[in-house]
Amino acid sequence: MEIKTTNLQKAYRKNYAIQDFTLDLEGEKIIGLLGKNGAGKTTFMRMLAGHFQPTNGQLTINGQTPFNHYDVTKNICLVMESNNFNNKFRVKDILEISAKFYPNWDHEYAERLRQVFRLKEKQKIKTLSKGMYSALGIIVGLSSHAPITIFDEPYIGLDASFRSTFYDLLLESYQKNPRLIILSTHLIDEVSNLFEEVVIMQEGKLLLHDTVDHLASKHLVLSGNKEKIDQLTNGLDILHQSSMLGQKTVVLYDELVEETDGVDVSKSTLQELFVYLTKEEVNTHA
Amino acid sequence: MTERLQEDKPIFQQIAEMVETNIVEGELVANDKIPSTNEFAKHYQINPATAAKGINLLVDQEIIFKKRGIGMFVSENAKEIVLHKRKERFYDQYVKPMLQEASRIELTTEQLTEWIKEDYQNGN
Amino acid sequence: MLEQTKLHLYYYWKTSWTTILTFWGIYIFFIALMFIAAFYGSNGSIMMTGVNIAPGLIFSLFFGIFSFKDTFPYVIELGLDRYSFILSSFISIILYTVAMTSISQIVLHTVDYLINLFSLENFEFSGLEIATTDATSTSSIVLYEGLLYLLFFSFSILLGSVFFRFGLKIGFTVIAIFPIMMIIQPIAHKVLDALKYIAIGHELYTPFAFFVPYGVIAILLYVIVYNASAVGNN
Repeated sequence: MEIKTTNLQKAYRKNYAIQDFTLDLEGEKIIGLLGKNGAGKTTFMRMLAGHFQPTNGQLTINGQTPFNHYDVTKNICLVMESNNFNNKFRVKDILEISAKFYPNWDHEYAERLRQVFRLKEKQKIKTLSKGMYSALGIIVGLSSHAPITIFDEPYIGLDASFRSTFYDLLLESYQKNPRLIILSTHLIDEVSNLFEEVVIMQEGKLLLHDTVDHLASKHLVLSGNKEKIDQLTNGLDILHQSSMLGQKTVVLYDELVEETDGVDVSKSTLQELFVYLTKEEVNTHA
Repeated sequence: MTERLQEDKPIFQQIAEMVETNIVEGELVANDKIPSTNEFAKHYQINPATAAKGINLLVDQEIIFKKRGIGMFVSENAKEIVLHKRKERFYDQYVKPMLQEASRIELTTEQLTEWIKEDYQNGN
Repeated sequence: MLEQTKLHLYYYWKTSWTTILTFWGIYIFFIALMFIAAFYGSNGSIMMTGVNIAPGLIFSLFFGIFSFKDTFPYVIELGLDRYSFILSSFISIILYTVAMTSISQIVLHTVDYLINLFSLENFEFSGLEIATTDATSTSSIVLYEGLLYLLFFSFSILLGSVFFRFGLKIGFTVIAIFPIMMIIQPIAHKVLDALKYIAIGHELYTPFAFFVPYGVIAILLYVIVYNASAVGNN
């Protein structure tokens, strides 16, 4: 599966949710889609699934636009935060409907997952708690075996234990049935190890797309004596810095520095990097 | 393998080091089967590609070898390779930072060597 | 397309059968109550004239609005395309019409049969035939009933699509157009003249006249739906 966007734009009236968004994704990978609230992640994922048309630019999956093309959209399963299911139905109905609509549906797996998450067949969607509603979305996404499976914040209301179960299941499902899985999340620390690649969006644009490995090797966290650090990083592009009591910590991205005595070199977590890359500094005025 | 992953080191490296440690400590000996990529991925909740990268690191150094369709096994001279590598790294990884800290807190060379002699002979 | 149509009809069936069944359940229960009242209370008579179709039509007029909202966004999210949605909607409207007309006829004849069986003289239950002359055949009355269901239900689905795509304000504006048209005399006359063609019993009546509103509804539904977003305008 190959997803390609070129100068993609989506405007709601005059507000651009997505602007000049160019991205290539391919292969059978677990990809993390990160971005602050309002970065355009959901809009992008919904366009991928053919829910609406772009305002401008190209979006193709295997060379074909998803909008109004069943050949493309039948291979996509998008699980959203909410509004996945018609409230009229019961759990059983949703599983029956999904079984009919997703060509690769795995019935036994779905049944097993339903038991793992303790969902009752007869329960009405309307009466499901937030967590259980999320669980149903997870069950559908994993059992769909759709060549492109997309989860948009699929764990609202799920406790830490069930979330961990979800990560186990996601890996298991991916290993049994390798496919392109896109996971959009705010809980980066919890899931960063699951990703092979990350895409970071900011204000409707692509900020960064890289493998997690590469990202880890491309950045450096230097800490040590303030003067030494300043000397070493003079003129370099600094992603983030903080200093305290004559000690200084600097985060560099895509820069090389010589190894120096007294300067400690380490790595940040993906979550920290994400924050450094996207955070708006709060300026306090005296 | 119940060691937990740390955050400030690449995961694939930690996977490789974990296997190496097991080999050095004798938990794993020549021709033992090691867990598959998928088992590593599942156990540590990590991407299988990451686990594979760690494993491949070991294959490249001939610490383990692949038997097609069966799995991965500890090679005959795995322990020697790992020991050799770790000894080479020992100075940079442990001695140098120790000496740095020692000089920062103004320890004398005598005090330092005495501690090392005592404890090392006591089998620590 | 065929695969998608099957899926759509399946989804449509899943969302609608309980509602349709509930409607008929309540309706039949109501008739039964009246029937029993007439049976035991011999003083006074109960007339249920021409009503066999009225509740069904009113139901259809609302049901389509909800039915659109209950199916369109979900089947699009499940991957169907809009063209097949439109085609399947036409098919489901026809199936709905056939089902409603059949049930309505069965109810009408069953009640008639029971009236004769118990020889009730103070209970009358009649269909559209009372609006026609004796010369009108039963089959054309049944056909007329079907044509009305089709009109009401398809119009309602069209309204549903307007509400979904353009929001409440525009939806209610569209609904408001009809009474406003009737206030303006020259337009009202034209509308009433046009209605003669689809009023059974009138000399100008012809079933083919229904194709005009059907055509308009079909075209509008296509235009509204073929590139509609799965996200409604609330």
